[in-house]
Amino acid sequence: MAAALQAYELGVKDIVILERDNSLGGILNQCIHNGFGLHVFKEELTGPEYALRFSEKIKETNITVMLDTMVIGAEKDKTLYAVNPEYGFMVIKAKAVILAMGCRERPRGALRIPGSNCAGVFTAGTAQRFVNIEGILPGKKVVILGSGDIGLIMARRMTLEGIKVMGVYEIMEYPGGLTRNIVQCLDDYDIPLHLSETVVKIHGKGRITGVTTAKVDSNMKPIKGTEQYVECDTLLLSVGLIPENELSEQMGVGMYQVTGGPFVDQDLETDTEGVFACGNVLHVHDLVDYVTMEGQRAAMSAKAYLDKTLTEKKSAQKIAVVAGNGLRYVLPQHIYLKDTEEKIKIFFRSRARFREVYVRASVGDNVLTRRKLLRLIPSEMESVDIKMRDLLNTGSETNGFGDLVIEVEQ
Amino acid sequence: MYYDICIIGAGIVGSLIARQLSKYKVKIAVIERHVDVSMDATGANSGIVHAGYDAKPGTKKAKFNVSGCNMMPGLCDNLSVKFKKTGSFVLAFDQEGEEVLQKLYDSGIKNGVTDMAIVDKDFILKREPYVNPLVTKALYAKNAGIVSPYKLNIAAMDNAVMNGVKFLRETEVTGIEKEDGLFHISTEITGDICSISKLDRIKEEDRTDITAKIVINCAGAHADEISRMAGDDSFNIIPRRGEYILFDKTEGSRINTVLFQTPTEKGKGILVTPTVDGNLMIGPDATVADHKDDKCTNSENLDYVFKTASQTYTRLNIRKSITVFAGIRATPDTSDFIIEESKKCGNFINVAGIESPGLTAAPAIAVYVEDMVKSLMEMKEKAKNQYTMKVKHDKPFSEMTNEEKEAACKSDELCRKIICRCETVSEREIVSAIYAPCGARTVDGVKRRTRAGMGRCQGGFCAPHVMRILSEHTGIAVNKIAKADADSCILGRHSRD
Repeated sequence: MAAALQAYELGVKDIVILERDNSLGGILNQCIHNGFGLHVFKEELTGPEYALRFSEKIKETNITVMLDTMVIGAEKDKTLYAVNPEYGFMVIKAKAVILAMGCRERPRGALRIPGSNCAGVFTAGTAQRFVNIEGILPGKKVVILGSGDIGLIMARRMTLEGIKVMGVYEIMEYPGGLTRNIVQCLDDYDIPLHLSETVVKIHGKGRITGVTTAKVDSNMKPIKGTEQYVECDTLLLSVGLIPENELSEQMGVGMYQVTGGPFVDQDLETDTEGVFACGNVLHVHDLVDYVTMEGQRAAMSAKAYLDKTLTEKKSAQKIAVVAGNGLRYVLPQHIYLKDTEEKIKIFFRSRARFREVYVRASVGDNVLTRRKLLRLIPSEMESVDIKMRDLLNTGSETNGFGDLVIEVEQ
Repeated sequence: MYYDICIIGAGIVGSLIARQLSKYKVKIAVIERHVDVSMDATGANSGIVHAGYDAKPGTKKAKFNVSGCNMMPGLCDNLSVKFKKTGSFVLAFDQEGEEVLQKLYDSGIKNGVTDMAIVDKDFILKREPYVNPLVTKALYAKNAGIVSPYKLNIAAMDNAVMNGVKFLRETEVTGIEKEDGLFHISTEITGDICSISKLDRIKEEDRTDITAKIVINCAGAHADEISRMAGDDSFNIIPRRGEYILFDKTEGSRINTVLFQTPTEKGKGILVTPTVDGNLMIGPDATVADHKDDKCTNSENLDYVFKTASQTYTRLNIRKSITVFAGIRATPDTSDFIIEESKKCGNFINVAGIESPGLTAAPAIAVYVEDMVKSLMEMKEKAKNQYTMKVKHDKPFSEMTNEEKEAACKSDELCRKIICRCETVSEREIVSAIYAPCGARTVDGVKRRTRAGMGRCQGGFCAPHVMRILSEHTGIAVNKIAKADADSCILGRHSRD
């Protein structure tokens, strides 16, 4: 919605939003807790409220909204195939496409948690939908595996519904979710958080009756002798999100293994011309506000693409942005050089937890910028700003340019 | 209720026998303790149609394997079930392995397998570029193929029910008495899904006080217990468990042939195979199960499966796994299939110990049992227009061309609602699965019939919708909708109750 509105405001006339759900807003609609909008609106909103801010605005525009619409195929030339109850099978030809499909949850099978294949094992988001949209509770006694934000939010949500949350188990030595969620969702409700501990077996015949947990060593392998049986009738998984890029791949968009999202340049353009990506389909965010801003940036680029004023890429010098020491990934993954005064924001996530570190951006021996961070943790995305002018000064057309490395200073 | 023939167990064997006999003017019931067909061994195995070279010459396994393999393409065509003749390789990596290939080839010839050859490295790698390049030779069996075991099972039962067979779900046999040439079968109702569902009109008397002239024991891992109820303790079933890892379709698109390692005493070894639906699957190991319903997976076993499969196939990416599961094999202590009228109890036919290659053999076993029953009881074939041996299924939405999709959407509103995004399954397909002759009543039932929930998100998005649709059509409340059997309800109470 943010991308559509931005494009509309920039004067794009013919915009369509294809949405598979029956209302706009995606997963925000089931996120009935607050904490959304602190950056964009400077106030605390619930998920549905945050979504409503945008959907109300969309109503005032002539943006076409197609709900209950499933895009079932896509091609490199930006032809989309979709079906919906109103129009049946549709072939949609677009000049520019903004990918904003979000992500899905990593299911049990992807973790290969052994044991019984019984009922009562949910991903946290699916359980959230059951509780908040359908109004049906998953069980009475729940164990949560993984300390991703949805799992933490659900620990509180279920406690409020009278469900006993036995504990949250996190295989890493630090939590996966935001600190504020650890405090507000676990600490405030005396829900134990077990770090470096995981579920090694699921028990039960028809329905889950318990799990075996175990502590893990530094290689995340279960330590023999630390097993404990925990009784429960529900297991919630909050063990990671996977960008939903099956359609992107059909459009020939190249994927970055680490983020699970497309490779993009500073314009959020993928390597398929005229196809842009933003939000959780690009990389998993921790705050919706950042998703919104990214959507707006993608729309600006798409508008420039339609106006043929987007960065000239065919002949431009392309430099790679690389995640160096301590970082898991950077975004964008490459920058096309051009002679402007613009600033480029490079987002990154760390591999581990750091306190009081400098994050440095450099090309060869040229340090372009250093940023001091009081703390840097994997669950919180950070960024540094680079000036295009500085980048241009690190090399020349004849001698070429080195990689732009973003790293934690040793 | 009286039936001429009672079949115990609705796995692939029981269901194909029921279908085979449904062309005669006889009253047939299939008694199944689970809520659906294909819930045990048939539901979780490799789905390979074996060519028939590995069974020991002269055994029932060899005989039924080879004839079953020949029947499979025609059967699948009749039942609108996908069969792919992929061929199979048994891969050898050294001299010792090559000797095994020769032995397999020889027994294949003895068993009557056609279209086999020992091929060299170039041939193998040309066909399967990701096989470990250390491979030296392979036994290539052109007639081997793949099929979805549960889809074949479902289609067989659909067909049987169309022809008048009574499918008694959630009914467990607890005792068998024989009196004056008539079997009295006592049963217990194991769940309430069918009694709540408004689509099932199984009357109480249909599944209690059952009497039958002929009993066919197709109870899989529990066949020895059923046999004992009839007074025949001539065999035991030792349950073995095999574990599998299933991978995303992105991985399945790179492999065309079933890849075996050279067999060991424990079984055919870990295989790497495409599935008919386009995934990649590896497994199974073979471990002694704790009990006959022990379908738990274990991390050591899964690690072993992955490590061993990686030795034959170089492109396995564990990050692309989407699920793991375990299946039970009904291994008999007699080392061969047991397909005979019990020597201790007349008119009681044991079809037991049907371990691998049981899926391949099942069509041939069904025809063989048909002849056996004919010799025991006079059966008249129904008039040609009173039965059919064909099942017509609509093409899945995901397999339609764009033109077909457009046409389907035009004429059918339910086609326009895509419920499962990973597998592109429409509401029409789910509704059809529920109303089929042997219809789906559970989330797993819908999944096996339509693939909704079988993709990479494993039902994360579509499960709530599938449950709603099931509830709307069966009349079962959403929080009573089960995953598998009645004891596997997915949800608890309503939050405002």
